[in-house]
Amino acid sequence: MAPTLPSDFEQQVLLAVWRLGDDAYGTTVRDELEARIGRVVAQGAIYTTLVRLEKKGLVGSAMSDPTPVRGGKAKRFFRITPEGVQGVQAARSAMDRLWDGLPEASEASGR
Amino acid sequence: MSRRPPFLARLLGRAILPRSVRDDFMGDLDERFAREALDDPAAARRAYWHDVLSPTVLRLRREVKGMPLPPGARPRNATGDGFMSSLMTDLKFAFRQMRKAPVFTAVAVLSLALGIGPNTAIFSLVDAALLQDWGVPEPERIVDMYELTSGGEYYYTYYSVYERIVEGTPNQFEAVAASAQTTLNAQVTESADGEFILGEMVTGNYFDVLGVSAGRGRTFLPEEDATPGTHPVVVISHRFWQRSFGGASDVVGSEFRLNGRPYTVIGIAPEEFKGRIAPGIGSDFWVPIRMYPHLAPTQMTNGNLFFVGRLAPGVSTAQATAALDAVAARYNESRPESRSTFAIGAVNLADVTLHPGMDRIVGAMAALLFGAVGLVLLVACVNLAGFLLARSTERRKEMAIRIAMGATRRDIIRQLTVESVVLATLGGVVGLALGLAASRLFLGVRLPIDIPLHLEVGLNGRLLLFTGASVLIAAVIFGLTPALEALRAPTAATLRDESGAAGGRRKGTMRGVLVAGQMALSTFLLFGAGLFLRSLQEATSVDVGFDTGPAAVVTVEAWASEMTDEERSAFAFELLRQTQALPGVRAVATTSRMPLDIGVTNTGFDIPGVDPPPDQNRHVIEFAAVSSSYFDFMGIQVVEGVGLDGLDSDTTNTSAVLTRAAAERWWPGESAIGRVMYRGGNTDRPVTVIGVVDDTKIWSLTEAPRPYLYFPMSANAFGRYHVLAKGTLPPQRTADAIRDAARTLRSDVFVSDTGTMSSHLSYIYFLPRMAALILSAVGVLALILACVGLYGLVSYAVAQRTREMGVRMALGADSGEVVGMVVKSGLAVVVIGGILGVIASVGLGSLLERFLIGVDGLDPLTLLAAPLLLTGIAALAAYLPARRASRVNPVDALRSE
Repeated sequence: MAPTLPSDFEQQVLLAVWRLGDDAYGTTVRDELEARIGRVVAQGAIYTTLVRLEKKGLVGSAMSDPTPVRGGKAKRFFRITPEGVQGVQAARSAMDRLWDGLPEASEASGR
Repeated sequence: MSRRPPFLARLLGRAILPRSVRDDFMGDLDERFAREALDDPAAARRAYWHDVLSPTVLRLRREVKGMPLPPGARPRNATGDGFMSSLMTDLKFAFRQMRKAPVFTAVAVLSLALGIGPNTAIFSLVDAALLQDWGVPEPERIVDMYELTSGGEYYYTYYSVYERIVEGTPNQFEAVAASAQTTLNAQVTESADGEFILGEMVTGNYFDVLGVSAGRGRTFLPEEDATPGTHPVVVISHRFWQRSFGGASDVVGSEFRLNGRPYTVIGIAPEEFKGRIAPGIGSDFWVPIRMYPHLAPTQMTNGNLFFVGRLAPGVSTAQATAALDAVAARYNESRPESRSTFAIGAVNLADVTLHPGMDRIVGAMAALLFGAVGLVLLVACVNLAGFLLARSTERRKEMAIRIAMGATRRDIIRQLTVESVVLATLGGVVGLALGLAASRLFLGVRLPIDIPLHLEVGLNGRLLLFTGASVLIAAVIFGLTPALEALRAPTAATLRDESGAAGGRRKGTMRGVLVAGQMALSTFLLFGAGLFLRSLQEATSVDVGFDTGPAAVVTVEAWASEMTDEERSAFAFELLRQTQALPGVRAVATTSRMPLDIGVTNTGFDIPGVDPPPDQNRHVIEFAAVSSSYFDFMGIQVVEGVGLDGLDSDTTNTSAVLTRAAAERWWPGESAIGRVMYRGGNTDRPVTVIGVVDDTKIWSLTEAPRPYLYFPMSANAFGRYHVLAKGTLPPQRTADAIRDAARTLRSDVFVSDTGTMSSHLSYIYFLPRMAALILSAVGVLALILACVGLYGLVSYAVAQRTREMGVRMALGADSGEVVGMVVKSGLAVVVIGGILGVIASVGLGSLLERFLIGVDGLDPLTLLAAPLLLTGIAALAAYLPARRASRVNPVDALRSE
């Protein structure tokens, strides 16, 4: 059987990292999620997920040079790995298969 | 608000996070904060705290811990990396221990809370009264100046002294201002009742000298203090503005009445500036000093000024003091005939808490209170040390197992320390709450004097710091000793369940020290509290020399309204007549000063043939102007000559009545009748002595009989006086009726107090009563704590000897003898402690003597009561478990342990 699919929140974080490309670090990932799905997330939740995704090999990370606005602290940039891309795609196709033959959300009523 | 991330949150975040994600995580938070703080710094700080305190941070910590360790790294212990995580483990363990022994925890926490509570209460009061800022920028550049008496006391003084100082120190001070503490009747609206407010009459440069500018409006212009009585303007305090004007924005420029005269508000002082009376009391108004004749003509001659100078750049306080000494020396040279020496006392404002003379007394009182409550805390600590010591015996097996499993001494000490810190912190939190409640209760006590006191008690950084320090000290004192003791037990023997392995003799010694210490401390503390209680008892039974039975005492402040002298005197006589006619009234009298009141009315006299005291040019004699009925009313006997009968309205008469102490001092062994005295040296109108009356207490309950002079009431300008009445009705009802009569007569006359003889006297009994109240509360607390602690320690020690008693009885000893022996040896340390306590109490007694009234510092009854009571309790604590042990079957006793 294929490796376990990333959870909902993991998928959301993975997609944000993928979309942000070279500019994915804690603050931007958080902003991205807040902007796109209007969900306020604690910094700790983002980081926990990023660390877990890194352990699973779905993202990789590298430290940048320190910047003054951050009190002289370095940023940790994340980047989605090929496995990560596979993971979100597998999750999506699984969802698609489950959705197959059902009416679109706009047509559904009384779920 | 600061544009920087909250320091504590940052520290906490860094402490929790593992190193591998610490910098980048916190950097992200800082970046976000920097962005959000541009809009709303407060919200950004909240969000920052929110992120740090979020449980997800702990989840992240666990997540990272699960990561493979970098090569070469080794975990410090099984649960995590280093200090934070082992601290967490210890904390968790401590809470588990406390849950396992809820009774122990409750007793320990409560006991400690009762020790810390009084400390917090006293500290918050001292903080509110003494540790407040003057609200003056650069206090080190301000110098306060007073007249310094030959006895080294700082006195308020006269305007002429101000002129001398200003003239003599042009280079030392940029400017010098004068201030006189004054109470005025303020009527904020035409219809409002007047209220007494406390404030200052000041020279026009007062605010400039102090470097304070108005919060709203402006302060005084130079011309507003240039000519007498021409500028009715007032600066009010922020607090008065809030309280009486509801903070209305249009107050500046409006008028309200001071002593019945309209004054224009030109400014409101900034909130942090509390004036120069006392930071904990605060001034509510400032009026140009040249308005004195306009506001209070009868008070003009009072020497009630002190001065503040702003040092010129580069001038030190010492240089200014030298210049002031020169001013005083020049003045003394200019009047070689004078018997007194003039001197100026100067103090830097940075060194003044309230007033240079008061600081010592108030400081001593505060030290006394702190000493008492500090001892209570110590008693509580000793208690807990005892509890923990007993408990450490029960836990010695646990410790032995932990050591056998590889825990180091450091681990065990750390864990035990964490446990006591947790206990102490809980105790501290409960104590803080108790203390704040107590201090609020204390402030709710109505002060017997008409000073609007506005102390603010509440949580603040200083208070938290103080409680935190108390907690830490408590934790160290009561926690570490038993912790160290626990480590002395030999591991192997303990594990084998061998009796006597509990540290044996050492532990016995430790317990002995605790019992003796507890006993000594409690004896000492209870003795102190007992002395104050006895002192109050004595104070209330001192013969004050006048009738203190029920009577109405109504204070009329006629000077505070606009009337001519004739109107004032007509008003006074009419009020007296109407009072006499009130239902149920049998007797009435008036006096310009009540005995045992605050405040002094005195004047200088020449007495032919009698030299004034050394250092003085004249006899300074206190006096009161009284109605002829006063002596009868107060039950004061005329011992020679006559009273003041028939002189009430005779304004040309210059007779006076003296007290026995005055007659005996000036004409010992001779008659005083017919002698003359010259008021202010004025030989044109000699004052003739027509009678001598018995002495009364004038100022205080402890004073020796003082010379005192009574004039007929017409000699008083009827500015301020008390109307006294007694009869068949309750005195408060009569007092209200007198006030109503006064209001009906003239609605603009201000009645400042509608009270009774007992409310008047509550002032003089206030301090001893308060001291007795606090100290008896402290004493009762100490007694409870001491009893609990002593009982616990002694009974535990005796119970430890059950096995030995069993052995002795198995060998044929009589059970009564065994009980006697155990009780005796248990009491030995108690008696040693008691003796130590009595020795310390003897020292305490002589220290406290100056605070006591009518009680010897070594009052034997008090000295013996505490140790006897405590020994009794200890005897009971020893006897009960010993008797129980003696009834146990010796075989069972041998098996116990």
